[in-house]
Amino acid sequence: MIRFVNVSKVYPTGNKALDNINLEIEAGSFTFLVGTTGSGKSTLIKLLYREELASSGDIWVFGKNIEHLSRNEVPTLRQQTGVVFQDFKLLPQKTVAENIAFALEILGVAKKEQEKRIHSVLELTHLQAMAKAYPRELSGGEQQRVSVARAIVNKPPVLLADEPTGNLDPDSSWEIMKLLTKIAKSGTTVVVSTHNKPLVDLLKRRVIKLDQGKIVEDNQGGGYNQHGTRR
Amino acid sequence: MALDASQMTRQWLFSLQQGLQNMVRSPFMSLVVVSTMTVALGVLGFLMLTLSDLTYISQQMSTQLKIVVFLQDQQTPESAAALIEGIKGVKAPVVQISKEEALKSMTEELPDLKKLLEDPHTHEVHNPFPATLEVSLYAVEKMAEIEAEIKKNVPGVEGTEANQDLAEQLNQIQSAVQLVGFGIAAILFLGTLAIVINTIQLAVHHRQREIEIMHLVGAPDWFIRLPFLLEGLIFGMASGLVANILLFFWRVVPLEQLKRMFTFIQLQPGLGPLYPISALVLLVGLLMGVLGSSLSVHRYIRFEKSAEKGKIPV
Repeated sequence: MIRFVNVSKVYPTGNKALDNINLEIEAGSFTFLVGTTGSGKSTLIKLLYREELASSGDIWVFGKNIEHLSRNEVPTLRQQTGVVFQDFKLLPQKTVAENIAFALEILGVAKKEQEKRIHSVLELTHLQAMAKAYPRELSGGEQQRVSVARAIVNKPPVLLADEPTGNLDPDSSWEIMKLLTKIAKSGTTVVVSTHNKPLVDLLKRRVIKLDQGKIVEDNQGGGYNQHGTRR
Repeated sequence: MALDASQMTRQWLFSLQQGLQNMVRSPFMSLVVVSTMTVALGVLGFLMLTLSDLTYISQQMSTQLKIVVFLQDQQTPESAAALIEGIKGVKAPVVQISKEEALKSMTEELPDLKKLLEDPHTHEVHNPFPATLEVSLYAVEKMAEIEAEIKKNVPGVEGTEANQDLAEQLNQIQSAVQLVGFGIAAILFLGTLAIVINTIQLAVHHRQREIEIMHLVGAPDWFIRLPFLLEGLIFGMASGLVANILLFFWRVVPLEQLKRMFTFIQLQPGLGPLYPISALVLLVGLLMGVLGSSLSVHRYIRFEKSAEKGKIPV
């Protein structure tokens, strides 16, 4: 489903963010990317939604080499890839429902269909009561749930989350992780980069550890610093 | 992913709605752009109106410029006039003034002249005035050329008189006014365009987050550009309309007063060239708005996309 082949990324400043990454992520799986700041986790995620281009190597998503996508094809890739960030990236002047609808408006989805899909994701994220609230009226955890709802409303086969719990308290973080695992169970491939050791240890999913742009550990069902089953 | 027509329509409508919302949300910014553009377009329209009036005045003066041809006594005005009317650039009919008419008109103007010209013995009036022809031209700048042709090809011409210098001066003034006017208009256009670009760029920057999210959720570039283009279009239209109202007011109220006060100035009757100039002002406004917004969004999106640097050899 997702395949990195000899992928390296060097930024124009000369900083080598990824160094010869070879990796396969199965469809419908849940994968953690862990590592210290600057280890390359965010760059790896950015490559997956074509925010950045690799300096060398190939990245395959749904059998398509996304490194060779034309500029006009990038929006289609992003419509099939939900992305969640640490800072939520919500529009303050729009309500919860409008923020979620934003992703559907861009695709020209009909109003009735929009309402149906918004209702469904609000239910999944337990935000039904807050549909008309503005982001400023919500807690961090609720805002992140809105962000997740927006990312999945278009039913993308891949969901990427870059430090989704970085700004949240432990309880909210746990809620978000539970939500992400629930989404993975429905068949979506979820890739989460995080520093949150307790949650990674608790969830026992695949953990890929990066250090200075290299994969140093790949544990199936392991914890943050455990030497689990090497793939 | 292929889109059907209704999806495309919904995308367009949403994009247009975003453009309108953007303007309403930043009223001060909208006001700054519209007022700046209005001033520039108003000055542009005013310049064009003035230029047009100056051209009209100079044309009026030009039509009054004629070549006066003095004929020898043996030449009849009719045959000379027929020959002159055959010359290219001469506006028919050539006005003929016979010797008798010339004398009559002169003696009417100066009654004492008749006594001076009268033979005291025979009481016969000696007529020293030649028959003359007044030749109007289509193009006043051809005056010297046509004058020379008359002298060369029409027999029995005693002499000619043409105010070539005045004609040339008028032409030069007309060209200079046009040159300066268009120079000022061009500078104004570029200056305003720069202001529009910067202001819309501020608006684009203001909505950085919205554009970022649009990119993230897979909005195509045209979808991101469209609200800003619409905004530019509305700015251009609003400024053009306000500028046109000002121009109409100027033409109908203060200029009419000036015409009444200085009757010797012959301006164009009625609204003159106001309609075509208004249309042009509106067109320039729309062009400036669309150009300004598309350039500023293009610059912004290019900056955003610069993250995608392409492959750098490792």
